[in-house]
Amino acid sequence: MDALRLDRVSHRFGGLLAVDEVSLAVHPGEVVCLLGPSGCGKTTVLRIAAGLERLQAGRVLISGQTVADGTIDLPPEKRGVGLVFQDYALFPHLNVLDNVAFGLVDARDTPARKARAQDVLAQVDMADWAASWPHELSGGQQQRVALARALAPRPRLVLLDEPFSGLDSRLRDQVRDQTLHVLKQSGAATLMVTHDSEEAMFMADRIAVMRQGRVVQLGRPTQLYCQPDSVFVASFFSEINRIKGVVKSGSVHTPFGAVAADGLAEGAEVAVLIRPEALRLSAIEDGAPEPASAARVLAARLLGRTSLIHLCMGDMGGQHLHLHARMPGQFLPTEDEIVAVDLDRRQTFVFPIAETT
Amino acid sequence: MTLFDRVAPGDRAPSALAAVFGDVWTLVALALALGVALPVIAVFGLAAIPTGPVWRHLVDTVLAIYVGNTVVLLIGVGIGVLTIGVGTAWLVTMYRFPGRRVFQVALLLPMAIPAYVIAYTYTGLLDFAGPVQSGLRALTGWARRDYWWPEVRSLGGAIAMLTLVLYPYVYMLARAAFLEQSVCVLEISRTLGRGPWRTFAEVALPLARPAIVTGVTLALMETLNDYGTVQYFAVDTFATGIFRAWFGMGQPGAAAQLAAILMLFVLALILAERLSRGRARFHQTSMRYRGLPGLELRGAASALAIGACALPVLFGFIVPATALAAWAIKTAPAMVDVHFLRLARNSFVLAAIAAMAAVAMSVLLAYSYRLRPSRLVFAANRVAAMGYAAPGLVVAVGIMLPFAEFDNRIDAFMRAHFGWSTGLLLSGTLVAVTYAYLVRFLAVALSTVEASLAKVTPSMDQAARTLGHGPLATVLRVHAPIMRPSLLTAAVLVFVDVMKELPATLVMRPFNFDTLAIRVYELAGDERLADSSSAALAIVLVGIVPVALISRAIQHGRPGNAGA
Repeated sequence: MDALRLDRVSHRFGGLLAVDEVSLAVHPGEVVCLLGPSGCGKTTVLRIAAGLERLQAGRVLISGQTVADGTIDLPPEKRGVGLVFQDYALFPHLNVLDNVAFGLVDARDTPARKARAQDVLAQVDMADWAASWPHELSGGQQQRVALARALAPRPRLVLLDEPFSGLDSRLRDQVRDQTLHVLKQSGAATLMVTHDSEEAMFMADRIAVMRQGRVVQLGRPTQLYCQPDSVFVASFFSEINRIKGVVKSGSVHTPFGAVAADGLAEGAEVAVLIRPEALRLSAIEDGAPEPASAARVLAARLLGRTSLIHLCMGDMGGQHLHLHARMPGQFLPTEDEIVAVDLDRRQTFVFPIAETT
Repeated sequence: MTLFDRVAPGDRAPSALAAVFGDVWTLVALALALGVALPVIAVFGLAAIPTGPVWRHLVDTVLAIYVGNTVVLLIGVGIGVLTIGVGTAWLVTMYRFPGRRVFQVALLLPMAIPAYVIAYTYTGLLDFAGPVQSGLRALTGWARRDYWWPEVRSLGGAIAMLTLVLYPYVYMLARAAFLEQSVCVLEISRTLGRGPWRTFAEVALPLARPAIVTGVTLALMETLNDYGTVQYFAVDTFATGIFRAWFGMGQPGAAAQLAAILMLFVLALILAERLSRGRARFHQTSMRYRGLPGLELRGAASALAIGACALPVLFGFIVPATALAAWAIKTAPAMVDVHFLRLARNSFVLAAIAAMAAVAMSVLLAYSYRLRPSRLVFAANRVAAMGYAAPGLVVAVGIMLPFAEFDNRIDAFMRAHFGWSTGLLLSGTLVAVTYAYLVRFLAVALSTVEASLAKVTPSMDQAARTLGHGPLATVLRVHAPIMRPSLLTAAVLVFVDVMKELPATLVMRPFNFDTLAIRVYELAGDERLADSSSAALAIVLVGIVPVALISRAIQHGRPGNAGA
């Protein structure tokens, strides 16, 4: 039984179709990310699941029970979901412990509530801050309290709306890691909204990429990264090089040789997308044979774990190609050096050009 | 770097004076603050001078009545403004029903009517000879003793009148607080199992409490400031007592003692407000706003909401304004004459002088703190902004008694040594009355100017300076354009407050220098309520201007809610 199930959910804001027939299921214990650019409708989906937005079309089931369809629409307080907002929205008039205990409405006796709240606080490493006030906490601490507050009533479904975007990048990694552990430990199903592909890959068992109100691809992170089925998905997960070409005899000619274009019509205009790490560079030894393809280095920068090399590639019908390559570790050829380029075709994707628009 | 200097430490040898007081800017701020504080200090000083049997007499006879009436008045008005203000604010902020947008603004309208004007108007409408009772008798054929009718001119009536015109303070601040609350916080409460009502009671209301308390405190300060209503309704409070002791009994010392007690009430209010806030000066934990969800109300609920919002507007503005207009149509031809125009001019001149002076002082104070952001200057600015809390009659006592004493001494000295009388130099002059207005209304201008100056960030100054503008050019080309609308707003707010002001004007205006407000008071005192309507209506019309300004400010004051 799915913890959350959305059936053909659509939603309009005035004339704008914000959510367009979205169907999605989140299994118990699973983390699913809704990934997409701002305005793609992902937050609206989350709010419909929480009951904060009235359902207009479709059906929402939580743990097999219909909570919203054409006739019923359970209010948020009856749905038993945990929610964490981007800015945490802690209650400023309650201290940390009371914030966490706020949702424990069933536990009538105060000691039991406090004990449970204290337990959950301990899970997020905030037990020592129980008596503090929200404004005394750092962003990361507020995030953890917000998570504890959402988890305290033991919801079967947790909804996270951009929960890490308020944190600076250094803190984010740490809080992300901890959040994942806490969520997995709680056994709750999680639906998380984010616009950050790396974050989605870090957190998610499965990712649903959304664009203009629709889910365009749904799958495990590796599937989405290695087998994107559109230019949009391919370019959402990393910076990507683009080369235009034309299909001839089932393949596309590129400066790196022919790239297979399976299933595309002869003569079709296509975009060849190459991930920066698909370009493998190597120095040309003196006296070595001429490499199959070579490029001139415009600039090379060390970015930490990888190096980014700006390349200028020879002449494709009088046009110079500017490409980015990423090499692991420190690989810093000098400016204007000519380097050999080898293309990893598993990280190269071909799509009909109509789709690039 | 501040705006005007970039003197490195040690470049300039500080004078001994500068070492103590900082410098000119600090001195300016301190001088202005002292000016505002002086009348209140004077009241306490004068009250300390024993008046012997007079005070004994007051204690034995009327003091208990004054205290009792004042307390009942405060409690009644407090409950009234709390209920109406918070209730209507929540309705128009969180629910959708027909007319909601109109009510958002219309609920502010009663603020345009001074309490004494609404008191006169309802007396005219509801007393025995008024249209309501006359109509009732004509309809039923009853005579005077055949029916029971509540007495308008009573303590209960005063509570009703003051509540009707003062609830907008609570409404305005509560609404702003509700709007300021992140919807996220309310939504989280819903997902944690609280329904809409419990979310209101357990989250929204506690969060808005500091603002609501401030609103109620402001309304109660206005209640303590009121003289016209309680005097007309013959409800003996400190305001009427001060007036009677001073002018009826010719005992300025006793008046000062009563004024000091009245001031203690005010201080108690301020203290109560501070205490109730405690540490709970809530920091918003959420800076994200979205269009408020606005629960749609249907059927009976919608009708109830409309009724709840319509009643305060109806009785607080529409009925009295209509009555005034109807009377004015009848009586204006006789009443609006050369004399009326002279009163209008007097009102205008007084208000304009006070407005300009208040804005000028506010600019000085605001710049003092910007250029010398020390604790001392901050404290000076806060003291200068406290004058609004002092009731008009307290300020009048605190200024007039020292001024009169000063005039008498000079006059006596000049007569003794030079044989001619200087008469009144300070008391009973425009200077004295303007001083009183500044004490009372400086806060209004100062808060507006401070908010506006804060919009000019230090980095803007620095950008202008690096782009080759000197301090003066920076002020003229960056500060002035940004602040101009706010300075105008500040001036308008003070202008209108002065137009409406009654007790201080009554006591302090120069001889034979009457204003519209005085005219309304005098005609009403002669039971010529219909005749007073032209002047009253003029005051109300002017009073609508700040309501419009305020409603525009709160409409646009909330990010992400420009249209709502």
